[in-house]
Amino acid sequence: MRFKLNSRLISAAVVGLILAFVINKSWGSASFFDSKNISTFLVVGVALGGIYAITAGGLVVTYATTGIFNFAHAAIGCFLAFFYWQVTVQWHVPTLLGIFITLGIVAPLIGIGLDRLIMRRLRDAALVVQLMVTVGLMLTFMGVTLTVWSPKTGRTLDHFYQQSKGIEIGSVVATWHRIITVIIALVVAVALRWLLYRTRLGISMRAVVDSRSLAGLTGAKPSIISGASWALGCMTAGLAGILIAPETGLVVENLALIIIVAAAAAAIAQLKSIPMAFAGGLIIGLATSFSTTFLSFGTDWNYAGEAIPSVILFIALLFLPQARLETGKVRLTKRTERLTKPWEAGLGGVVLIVIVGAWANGWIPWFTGTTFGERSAVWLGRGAGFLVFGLIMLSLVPLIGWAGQVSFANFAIAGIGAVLFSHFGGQNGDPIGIVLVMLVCAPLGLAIALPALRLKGLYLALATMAFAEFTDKVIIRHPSMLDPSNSGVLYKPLKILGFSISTDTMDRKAFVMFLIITFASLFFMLEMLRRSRWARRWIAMSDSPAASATIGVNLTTTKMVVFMLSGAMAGFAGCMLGLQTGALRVDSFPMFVGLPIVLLLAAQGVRYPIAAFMGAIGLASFPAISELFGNPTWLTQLALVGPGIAAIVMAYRPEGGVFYAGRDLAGLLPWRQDAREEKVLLEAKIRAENIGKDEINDLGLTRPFTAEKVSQLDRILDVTDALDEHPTTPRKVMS
Amino acid sequence: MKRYRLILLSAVLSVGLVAGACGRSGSDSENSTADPAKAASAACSKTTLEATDIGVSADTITVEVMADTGSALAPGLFQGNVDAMNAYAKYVNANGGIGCRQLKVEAWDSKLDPTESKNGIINACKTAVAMVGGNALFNPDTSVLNTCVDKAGVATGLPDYAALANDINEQCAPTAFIIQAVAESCTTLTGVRDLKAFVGTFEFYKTLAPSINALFLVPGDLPTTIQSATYQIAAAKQVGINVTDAMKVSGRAEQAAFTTYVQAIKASNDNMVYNGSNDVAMTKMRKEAAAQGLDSVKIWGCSLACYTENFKAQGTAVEGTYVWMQFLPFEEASSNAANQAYVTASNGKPDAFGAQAWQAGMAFKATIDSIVATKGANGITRAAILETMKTLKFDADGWIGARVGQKVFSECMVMMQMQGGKFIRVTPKEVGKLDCNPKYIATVKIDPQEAAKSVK
Amino acid sequence: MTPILETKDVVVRFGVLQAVSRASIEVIEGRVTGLIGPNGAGKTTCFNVITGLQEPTSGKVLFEGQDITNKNPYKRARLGIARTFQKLEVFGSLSARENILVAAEQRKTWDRSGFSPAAVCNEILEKTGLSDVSEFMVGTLPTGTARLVELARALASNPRVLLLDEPSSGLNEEETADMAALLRTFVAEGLAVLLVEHDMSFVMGTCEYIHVLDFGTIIASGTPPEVQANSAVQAAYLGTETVEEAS
Repeated sequence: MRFKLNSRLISAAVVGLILAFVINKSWGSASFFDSKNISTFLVVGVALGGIYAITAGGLVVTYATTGIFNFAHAAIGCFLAFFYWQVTVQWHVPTLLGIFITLGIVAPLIGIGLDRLIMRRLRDAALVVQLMVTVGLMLTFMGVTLTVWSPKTGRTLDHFYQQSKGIEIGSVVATWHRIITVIIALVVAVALRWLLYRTRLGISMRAVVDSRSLAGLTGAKPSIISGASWALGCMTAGLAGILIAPETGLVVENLALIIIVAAAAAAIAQLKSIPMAFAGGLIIGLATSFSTTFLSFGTDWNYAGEAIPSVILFIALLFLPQARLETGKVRLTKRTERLTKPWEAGLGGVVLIVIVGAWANGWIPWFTGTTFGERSAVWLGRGAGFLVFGLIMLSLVPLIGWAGQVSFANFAIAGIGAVLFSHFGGQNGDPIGIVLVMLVCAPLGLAIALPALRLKGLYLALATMAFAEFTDKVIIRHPSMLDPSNSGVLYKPLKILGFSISTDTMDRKAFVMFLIITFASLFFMLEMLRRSRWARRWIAMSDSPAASATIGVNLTTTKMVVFMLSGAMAGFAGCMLGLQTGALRVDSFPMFVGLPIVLLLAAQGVRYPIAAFMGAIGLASFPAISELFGNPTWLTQLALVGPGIAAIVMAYRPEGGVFYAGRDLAGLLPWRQDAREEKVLLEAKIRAENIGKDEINDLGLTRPFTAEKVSQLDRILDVTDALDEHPTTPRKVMS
Repeated sequence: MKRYRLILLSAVLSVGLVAGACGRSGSDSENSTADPAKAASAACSKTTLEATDIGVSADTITVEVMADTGSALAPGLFQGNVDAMNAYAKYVNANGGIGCRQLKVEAWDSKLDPTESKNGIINACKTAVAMVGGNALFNPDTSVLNTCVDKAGVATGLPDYAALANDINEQCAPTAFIIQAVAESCTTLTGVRDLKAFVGTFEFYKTLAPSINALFLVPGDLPTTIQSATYQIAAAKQVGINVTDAMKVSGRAEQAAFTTYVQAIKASNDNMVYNGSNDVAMTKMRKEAAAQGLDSVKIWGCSLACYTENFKAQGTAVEGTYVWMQFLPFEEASSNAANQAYVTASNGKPDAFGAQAWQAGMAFKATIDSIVATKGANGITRAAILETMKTLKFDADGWIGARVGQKVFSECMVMMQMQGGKFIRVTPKEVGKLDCNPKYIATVKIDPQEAAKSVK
Repeated sequence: MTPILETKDVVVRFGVLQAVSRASIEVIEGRVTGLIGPNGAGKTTCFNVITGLQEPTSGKVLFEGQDITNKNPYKRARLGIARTFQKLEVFGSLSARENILVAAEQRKTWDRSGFSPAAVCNEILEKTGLSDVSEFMVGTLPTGTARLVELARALASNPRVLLLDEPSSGLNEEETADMAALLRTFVAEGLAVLLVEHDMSFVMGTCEYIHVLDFGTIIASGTPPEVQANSAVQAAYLGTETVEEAS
């Protein structure tokens, strides 16, 4: 640790050299010393930067005042931008009144509603639950917006002062709208900074994040404060949405997915400094503009420009200071956990095989005939797809469920695995390729995690998301990975044990059987692993990194092992994904598709291997439900909203569906008195917690709020973490 | 949710809409398909109808329309295809039916997903006599089109009357009959090869300015879309357009990013911009040019991708943009019976995809009519359809240029221009006419993958 | 006697706030050493510095005379430093038995004495009286029991120095007495204990030597009677009392 400065210098030098190399190698025809180019670069960069900065600022404010990284931030902004369009363009409400209605009334209402219904329950929840719920919210807001405002209809929001010419800088015009955006982003950054550090409300907001009892000192009711925080967050989201929409067009994914860029800017700000978030936005805007103005990446790396935000996020992570070891945050919903015995796990695996085998052979009455059987080849093909997703989910159980490492990258790893398999043996139907792919994907899983291993869990989630984006835009698109002119089926049927396994109509049943047998085997393996010291160590690490370290656990190597295991499993799933898809395209693995996989697993219970199977069933249920209703248009958004809602429910059911279903079903058995007791205990515990919260809420209403207290709080908020003493807790003193 | 909608829009519009269909003017085409139709209805009365193949029962003919409609991020993307086919079935059934039977349309949502597209073909193979009016962007595995087994257990293949085939594998599938025709010769799909491109538009633009310096905006979301733009660029150069720059563009980009294109236009003093991407990209380009005070560009050209209600709704911001198409536009539906039938059936909401689906439906009906005329109403089998489509003469009753066979590169166009919020015909002047000329088709010899490297 | 563990002039600064300034503490084998002081005096920060969770701004941590200031927390654990936490840091979603088992299994990685983790685990469960609750998830146990689990877990890694951060907080009188008795048996076996505690009767009854920390500085060191007589110590404690009344 003594070498921290040096190691940072070294990384800076390395990153600098790599950047210099890339820039030198990709330098286009434009001259840097041409004032026209410079002015284009700057004006475009600052304009883009303003867009990113204003979103990032809101994101950081929300995080600082609620402790929750809100992936739905941009999606909420998107919804509000559409609402603003509805009010001003459709209903012809004057602009200022429209802004007031949107930002002054609707946005705070959404914020307070979110706080009441969802966010309040997330405060003490595990990171994975917090992340899943906000990602679920993002999908839900997108789905709702798409349902209310069909994208088939054309909509435009005019730029502010569109008619008047802006300021000419060099040979480029900076339009008023963009100037306003940048200024507002700056003003918002300064104002929010002032609000959070210099006003009673702001200090209370930050105090609530740190500790509810601490907030009592500020003389504020935590429940009101957190409502205010979410209202403020939604207002900043809406403000950003209204300013950005004229630039991006009123297109849901354009607006909602700005979150990826904003997250990179927020990482630069270490998720807490609003002025730095503004700077981070500018940096990304300028970098993007620099690359479009001066660089040309060539066809092999054609899409590298689009990956700039994710690369910047990675670089930012390298320079973040080492996080102090996190202390535990476990909310329990059960008293005992019975480890599955080997024979039970074995039986479970057999049951899975029997169920899926019976379905695949059409032996289950309702799932034959015209419902899901008449086109059995179709549903067998889909079934194979869901089982492949199930395998990806299974790869996440040890990683997220046990080791607590929230990763969104496994779908991307599977994508890379699928592509590699088309080079390593899949093209000839050679099973040895699967082993090779797993051998590559294991260290790959590790490499993704490396920059974030020493950081807080949230950064890992961001890093994996950035990696997924990078994979989609750069890795898969390299011609030596996936040759765009080779557009047909990339794989020959795989011959294993006399079966021919592929996506061909005749091979589909064998494929499903092969998948469920491997799924059941991996399920058994994981259940056995859970009984081993490895899983214990991972869970211990996840429950309390600090305590694990103090009993001698090397956190880094322990994490590395689980990442490699998970990577290898994802690689295997990737081979199957390739076989199941048959023909791959460069855009077959967008980051976005990986989200519902993680979401549905988490909703089922990320700690339990069986949840991967239930998650796959969950995925299958959306097209099945849609088909039962005759694929009506009002169910189109089910693919977005379904996983979204499932994840949001986690705010109420953090352990996941599998757990609650298992307990409640067991409670129906006359001899399972323990399960019934368990439930009563849990309810009593929740009641007690709620009473505790109410007490805290009543605290502090009459407390004086002196400058001294403010500075004391400020000091605490800046310097202490959970490992330090709580100087505010009254203690018995020497008699 | 499966994929980004933007990719799709630009992908579709760039790849597919390079071409159209061949033809003459609308007025003198009546007799080409009318005769078999009359013969067909005459044949019906004297036959006891039988179930002759999968999808052909004694009283109905079932076809499947497969289109990307239910993807969560792009809901209703190609709903136009499905709506048009349903409307076409109604129209046909109200006007005497097809092959002495009623036409039944089953819809399949391919969800922008290769697996669902393949499933759609598998489903059609089991339930429909043919696929008609489809538009599935990601349809790379068309093996079932070739191996599909008919009622007799023979692998005859499945006829596919696609409105638009974006995927090269579907374009080159032997059982495909495609309205929007194909630039590839399908002999080889890699390396240097002959590719067709439509240059009638460029010939027209040349009449607007003595010399043309052009910036090409290439739909940049996918390597394939960039590559397909390269033959158009090569063809433009071949006919004397000075292409100063070809740059990738995306409808997803913020408008501020378009400043870069404006600067490029200024730098090489371009007087023309041609957009191969979608209407969103074109709108942003026009708005940014205005914001930057750019006035050197005299010609704003866009592909059929701009022939949308959304684009029209942009009003003055896109005033003067040229848009070209290879069928008679909806604005003058009254000049052509088929066009009018579609526009009426679409409840006043016609779109280019729906029009092509309707045309695919007409091509299918023309095939059936021809079979009934020669083999009788019980001669309708997939084998017969596949045999007949090879030499089918078709012009959608004059709505598109006349064509023979499954895949044709049209030599016809109509050039429209945005004027006062409306699309106004600029050439040929006469309403109801297509401008057809063999010279409008250029053949370029390039390797698109190599050529794509020069796109910035 | 040479101390097994000592800190030399440790300074920890958070921004402008000096949490610990030039603190030197000695811990000797077979003895319970106390570290006391008012709230915010920097006691837990000292613990964090010793166990490697907090990097000192300057100063040294020595274990058996060897400088371990730059060693990772897990390496210090392997040398034989174990601790408990003021704010409970149990592995809440593991059972009490698994909590102890994890530590015992982890010890396998550096202790080659051929012990059986399961046997060690049972032995400790027995000793600490946790056998009855061994299958319950620790997160659901009452605080007093959970503190015992934390202690048991620390013992499972067979430490030579044990750092206890307010072991009696959340415990009733009876439990506190049990804890004190338990401690004495371990110390009798040669374990060195460093204890942070607010319960003065517990401290005075258990510790043989005491360091007093106030505003990050050691203001007094000595045996319990010496410390109790120290005027600076009394002032420091009286000072805090008034602050608390005000809050």
